[in-house]
Amino acid sequence: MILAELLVPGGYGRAAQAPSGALVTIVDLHGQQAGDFVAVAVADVTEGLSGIETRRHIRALHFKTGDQLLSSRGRPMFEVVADTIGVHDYTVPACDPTRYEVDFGVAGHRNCLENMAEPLRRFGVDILEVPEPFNLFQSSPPSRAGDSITLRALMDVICVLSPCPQDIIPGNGLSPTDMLLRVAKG
Amino acid sequence: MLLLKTATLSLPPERELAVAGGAVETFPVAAGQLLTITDVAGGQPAALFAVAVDDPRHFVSPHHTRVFSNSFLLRLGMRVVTNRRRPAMVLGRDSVGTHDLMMPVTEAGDGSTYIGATDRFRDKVRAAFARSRVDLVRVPDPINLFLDVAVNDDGSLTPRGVGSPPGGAVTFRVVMDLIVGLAAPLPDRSLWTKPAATPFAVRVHNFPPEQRSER
Repeated sequence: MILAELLVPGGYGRAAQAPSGALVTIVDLHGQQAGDFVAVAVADVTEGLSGIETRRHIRALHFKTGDQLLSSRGRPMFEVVADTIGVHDYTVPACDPTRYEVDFGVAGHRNCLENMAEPLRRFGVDILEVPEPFNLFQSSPPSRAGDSITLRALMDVICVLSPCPQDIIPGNGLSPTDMLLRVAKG
Repeated sequence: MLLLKTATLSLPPERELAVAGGAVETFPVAAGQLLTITDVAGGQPAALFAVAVDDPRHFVSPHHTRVFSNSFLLRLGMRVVTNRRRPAMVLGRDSVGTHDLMMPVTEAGDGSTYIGATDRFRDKVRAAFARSRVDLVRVPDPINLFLDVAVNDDGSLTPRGVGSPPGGAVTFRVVMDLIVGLAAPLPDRSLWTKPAATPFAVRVHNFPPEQRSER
């Protein structure tokens, strides 16, 4: 049973809530598109998905099916239950205004940090409290259309996905494309 | 002191302080000064934080530091940068060579108190910055000086404890006016072991020791 299904436009951000036990699936609809993904706990939005806590737990630069992804309080927030590609990044910070201004001299570019902060604002999340992202389909062999990853929520969460707007370096094929964010009953 | 074309840089007085084992201290360091942190007893990781004097929303970030230099570890000569990708300091001297940019500080002890251990440490950091009249919106993730975490070819990470011998030290050239926070955290046996936390000696100085003696 599908609880929510969002078409997230390339270069923009959207949020969806997932209750504990739900399956959260992210689909790269057209291939070669990285998606920055963060989540915060419904009960307390200052508790977010955490790369550093997850690294301490799984002791690896890459997570795999069966791994638990931890929150900033060291609590299991997700379990990876399916993954068609197997390699994702969770070490690179989200692109933000300074990524484009400092590194490329481009002002006013869309960026993942603000894409994720915007839908979280209505839940009371300050942009500085947006967690460091899990960059799905990044640092992997180029993803193909239809590649997906599914996470089981282990607490009530608000998930945010930003198909990365980076169109200057090769990562997204120079043209950001849409992704799907689906929440289904587990 | 930086060698500028026009000698307009006036640096604050030098100072020394101690950070007791288990404590967090905050202190100002001006652009142009040197910051030396010495692990007095050895085997103690330091959690380093820093925010811009004029904007607590602008802070040193291990994540941006990693990507800025394409390195999972902090190495000699690397710029430590902020969440706005601006250089805050440069690691200019290093007698140890092992510094982590990827792990949390939890003070989790033997693991039985893991849940909440990160929060307790963050509360200590937040309180320390409040004593310097800095209200942190978010406690940044730490730069873990002296903590040795190996990055293996297969992508696995191996904590190897703390690499600093007694007297092991690092010196940063600071290039932004900062409020620095330095913690000597309690053990997290998942990452490093020691019976108890031990202190750091901190020097904020305007010349390297050998240059000072010539003046």
